[in-house]
Amino acid sequence: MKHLILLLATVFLSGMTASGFAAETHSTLADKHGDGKAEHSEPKTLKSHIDDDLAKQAGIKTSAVASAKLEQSIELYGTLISGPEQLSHVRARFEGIIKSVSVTIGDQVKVGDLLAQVESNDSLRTYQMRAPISGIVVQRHANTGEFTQDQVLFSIKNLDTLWAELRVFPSQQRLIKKGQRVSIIDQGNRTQSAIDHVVPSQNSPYQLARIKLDNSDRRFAPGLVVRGQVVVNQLDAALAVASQAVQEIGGQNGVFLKQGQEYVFTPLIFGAQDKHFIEVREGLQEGDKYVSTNSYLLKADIEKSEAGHGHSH
Amino acid sequence: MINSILRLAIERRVLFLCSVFLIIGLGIWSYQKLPIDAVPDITNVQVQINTVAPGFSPLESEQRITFPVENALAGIPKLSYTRSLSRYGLSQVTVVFEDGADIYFARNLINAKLGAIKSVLPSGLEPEMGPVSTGLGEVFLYTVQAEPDALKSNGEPYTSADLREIQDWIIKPQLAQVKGVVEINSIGGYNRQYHVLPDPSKLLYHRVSMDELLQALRANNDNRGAGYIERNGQQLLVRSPGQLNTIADIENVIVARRDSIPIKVSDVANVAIGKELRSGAATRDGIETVLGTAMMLIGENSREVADNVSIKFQEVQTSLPKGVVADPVYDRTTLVDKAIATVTKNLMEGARLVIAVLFFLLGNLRAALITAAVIPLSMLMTVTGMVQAGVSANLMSLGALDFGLIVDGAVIIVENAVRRLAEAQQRQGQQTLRERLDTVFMSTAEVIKPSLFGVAIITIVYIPIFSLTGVEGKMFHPMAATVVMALLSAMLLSLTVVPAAVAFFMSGKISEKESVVIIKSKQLYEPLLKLALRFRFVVIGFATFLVAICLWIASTMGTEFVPQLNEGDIAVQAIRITGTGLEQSVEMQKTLEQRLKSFSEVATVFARIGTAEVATDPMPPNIADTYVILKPRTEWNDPAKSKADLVEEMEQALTSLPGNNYEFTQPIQLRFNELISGVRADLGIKVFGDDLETLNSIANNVLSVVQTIQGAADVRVEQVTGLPTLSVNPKRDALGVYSLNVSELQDWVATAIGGESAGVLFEGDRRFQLVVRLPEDLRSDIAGLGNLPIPLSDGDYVPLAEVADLQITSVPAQISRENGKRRVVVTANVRGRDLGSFVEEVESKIREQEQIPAGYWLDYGGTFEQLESASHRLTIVVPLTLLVILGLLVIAFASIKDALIIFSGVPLALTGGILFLFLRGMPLSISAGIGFIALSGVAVLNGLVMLSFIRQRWQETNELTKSIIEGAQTRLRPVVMTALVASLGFIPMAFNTGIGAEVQRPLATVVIGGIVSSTLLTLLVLPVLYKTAYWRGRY
Repeated sequence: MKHLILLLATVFLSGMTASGFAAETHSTLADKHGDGKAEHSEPKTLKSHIDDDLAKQAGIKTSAVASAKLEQSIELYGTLISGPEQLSHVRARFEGIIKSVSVTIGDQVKVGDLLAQVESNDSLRTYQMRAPISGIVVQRHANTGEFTQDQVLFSIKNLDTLWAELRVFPSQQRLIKKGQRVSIIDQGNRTQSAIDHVVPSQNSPYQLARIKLDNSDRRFAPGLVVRGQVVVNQLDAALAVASQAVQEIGGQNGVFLKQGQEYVFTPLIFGAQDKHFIEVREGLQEGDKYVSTNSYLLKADIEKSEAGHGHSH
Repeated sequence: MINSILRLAIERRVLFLCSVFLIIGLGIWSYQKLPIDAVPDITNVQVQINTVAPGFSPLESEQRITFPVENALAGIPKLSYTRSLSRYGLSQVTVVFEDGADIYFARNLINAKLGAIKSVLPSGLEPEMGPVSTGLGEVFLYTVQAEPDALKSNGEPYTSADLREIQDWIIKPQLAQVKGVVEINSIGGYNRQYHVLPDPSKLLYHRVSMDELLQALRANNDNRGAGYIERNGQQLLVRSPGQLNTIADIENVIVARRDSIPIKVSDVANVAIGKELRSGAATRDGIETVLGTAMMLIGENSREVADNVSIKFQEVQTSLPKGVVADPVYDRTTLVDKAIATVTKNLMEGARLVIAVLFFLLGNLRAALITAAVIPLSMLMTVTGMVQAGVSANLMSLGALDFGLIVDGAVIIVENAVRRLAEAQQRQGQQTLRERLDTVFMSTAEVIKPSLFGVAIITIVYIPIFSLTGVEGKMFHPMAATVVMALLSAMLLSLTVVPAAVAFFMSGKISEKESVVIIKSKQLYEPLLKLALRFRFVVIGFATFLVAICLWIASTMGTEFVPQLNEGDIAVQAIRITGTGLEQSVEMQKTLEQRLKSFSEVATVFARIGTAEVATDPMPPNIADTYVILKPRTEWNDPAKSKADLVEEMEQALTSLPGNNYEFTQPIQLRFNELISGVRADLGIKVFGDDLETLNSIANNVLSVVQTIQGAADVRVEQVTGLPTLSVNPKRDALGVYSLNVSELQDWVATAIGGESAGVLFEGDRRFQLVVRLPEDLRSDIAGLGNLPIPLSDGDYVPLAEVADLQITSVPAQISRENGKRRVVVTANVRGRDLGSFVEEVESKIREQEQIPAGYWLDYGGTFEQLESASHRLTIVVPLTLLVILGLLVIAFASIKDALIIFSGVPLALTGGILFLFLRGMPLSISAGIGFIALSGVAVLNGLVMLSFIRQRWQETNELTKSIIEGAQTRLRPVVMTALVASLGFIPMAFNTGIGAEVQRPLATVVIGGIVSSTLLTLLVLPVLYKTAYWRGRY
């Protein structure tokens, strides 16, 4: 009998040795049911504590909330043309023989300058053709001894002013109005002007915003494609923060307010925005210190601990 | 047969002794070829298929690449499972094969399958298989940096792009030549690129589209060979070089003709050298750097490869430009050397102790030396066997070797021979040679059977280890194989060389002094034994009680997979929130590294952020693998500080840094964890299903459950959501108005923002991408993007916002799949608690508190997975093995009773093992389990020797009690000796604190404890049991 017990003990033991690695007995399951899942209801303040010297090392900088002038602008592309009033095609008033020509292509003429002398067929008197506008002679179809007929003898173009015709596509049309300030950008040069008028274009879905440009220094040439930055809205925001300060956490946009060595995420209601600033409608007071540089670090810090609490979207 | 072998060995003793030289020679030769490593390679047979898909979002790469690749691989022979990862710009499918599959065959199959689906994949994408390497593959890491005042030949300081160029074109090609290196992986710096940056308004002015620009560049950048001409007998090659070489060349490419005027690239674009859109960066000690990793080919010897790389590296240094330094930061040799030093120290000390004990107890120097000679001889034979079997020498494989166990058989034989020879001399004075040989033969034959039988049984108990599969199999097979080989060698030696040596050397006067210890023990033993025999039932009761108590203790003890090997270095994985940009991540990493560098124990800190050139470890930019290389302990301010304390200090110092989460591991461990299960934590709870939203919410619920469980640390959900994305959604009706296709729009967006390759520029071997994309100020101005003009075919244009909606949305950051199904993983580490019970609690809590919707299911993985599969297997195999042993014993003794009595030593031995573990506060682990296995063998051997003697006596004298007492007395010395040598042999291992000692400590602890208890109890309980079983006087 003894050895039977022994056998049982041995086999039992060897089984246990192996299953010792396996999961332990279930006896310790003193089922404390708890309150189930953690509740997500009460809003937590999202904040992060960073020592000042560490913040400095990490490149976190703050600014005070203040008023700002916002300038919203959109960019349009278009071509430069010389306006119809700046091109004159000069014909002979009476047909006749050209006696002399005093300008040629490229000559700069002023109003009243002599262009040519023509002997009228009717009166056989020589009369003078004078420049109707100032500008450059761009075409000449007249030589001494030729018969004028009804053709254009000279074309004079005035390049002192040019028109920029910027294309305004349907989605931009409600923003663009006559009188708005524009910077025309060509190869990095900016020229300030304003929209003179907005006209529909022919056979195209877009309208043209026409801007008169002074070209007395001959900077521009017609046909050039330029970029125009149109200031579509200007406003004075009573409170504004730098746009790079804004971060999104849990579906809300806001900034980080510095309180001592703590940075508190403050969801805000924003208004208008330009390249640098964003208007704050609600949530801040003037003079509040907010993180203007490297705010992402704070978002990262808050969300890393948030990741544990499972904020499902 | 055994007798004839013995007879032969004794007669031809000189010949047999000469074979020793053969063994030595073969052993030394094999040792030169023995692969030496720190740890066994536990990586499964796997192939990574990486497809780099520039610009593909996670959803697209899953749909367009991952899915077809995964599907194509289904049904490959020996496939175990697949898992995949779809990320921004990358699809990685990992194909895991069953153990033992031939990796090259597997790669061939995959190659064929990939070829077949090429047409299904988006054009231009090429799935590539990762390097043929393993988790141990990263053997050598180095950084490339410029000295602070170093200048290039043109007088400018070195940029990170220059360093990367040096890495890619000077260092890498040289190191890649080293034998055993399969890949040099680079990360950090920038690949130099030539950028053509068109000005949109100039494009409009000249009515040139991006596409025309690309076409023009592609069509004007080629060399062409045109055969040859023979002239006057001479061969003249014809060739038309047309490759672009310089920025000026690129600028002069003609793009189009407008009004008979040629438009050159320079008319519409700026050309400059720029930076790629990189996917990874590297830092060292808070400075950006370039990091190179030498990856070792599968099956190579890591020490050798690391050594070779290191030697080649010295040569490479001399070829670097002045002022540029390539600096090794991680060299596997260091760890391997340390680990091997630990093992060697353990083995040497063990061997020394064993020899001392032998001499002390045998009281005969020659006999002790003969026995001790078995140690180096069997070791050399084992080394030969290891080389033949392809087992590498490492902490695990050498870790379980105990010279005490090995010499057990020899001890018994030599002890008996010495005793018999001394007896014979006492009886008849000096023996003749013939007589002596006969005595030796007689005495050897007397004990050879039980001794061989014992060794055979010790060998058999290792069989369960061979039944382990997967990771634990890879970990412990080498260990079992080595021990078995050592035991078999010893067995062979005790059958041949040992009797030959005894016959040859034990001539002249045999002094056999019973040592004081043995005499004293005998004096103490006799009354004790008599007492025990009188109170048989008390003794049996006590033993049973002890066993029961220990069983109870064992059931309350924690469990653990394998104790972690201390690698000496630390790996910190810094995790930032999803969507963190690479540059931001680098900035945060710099602060982190400066913090770590300020520790006086730290030699250097370096990190890999994001994904390297070859995506062996595809990390998003928000994750950084930080390696903290520690100084040698002697240079520490407090050399006694434990690594755990240091890690804790570091953790504290780092937690104050904003925006990072951390996971502390070790370099090799980090790599293994990732490769094996794809989950880098103790426990991974996988949620499977279809809809990402649902998966995510289940995962988050699971997370909140796990967090409430005691011992949970670093609990987190795989970051899958929240990758901010700028979506350019085409407005189809608006596109119609301008007669644009969606694809034209997408091409434009891709080229303008992402850039499009227009070919390659060569500089000797070096090649640089030629890329067309918008100037940086335009492409990074998100608000202005909508205003950018898209040229139309009629020369007109339309702003982007007119034909597309620009929206910032959030898409999944990564999509993980396993076996073709989407999955989200919740990971947790366990601190201050054993894994087994933790997992148990997690499972039951989740079952109680979670409702999993239909079509979704959970699966538990991570390190614990291996623990579970190992225990299940062992639960079956261990009892089976014990039964086999029992059967053998029954056959040997032709008596179930005797077999069971011998067997009773096993539970008695286990009690000591469990008690010692308990006293040292160690959990039950597989290492400890292996100790128990070895222990069972020793216990059986002890009982066997004693019982066979008692039985023999009883048969001779027919007096039970007297035979028991006499037999037990006679066998006291060998039993004590085998026990002492076996336990002393393990003592250095149990107390060593060097690198790698933690793996062997539980094993050694168990064996020592077990042998102490088994010896004490065998000496008392076994005779008692024998008496009890045979009290009626029959046998």
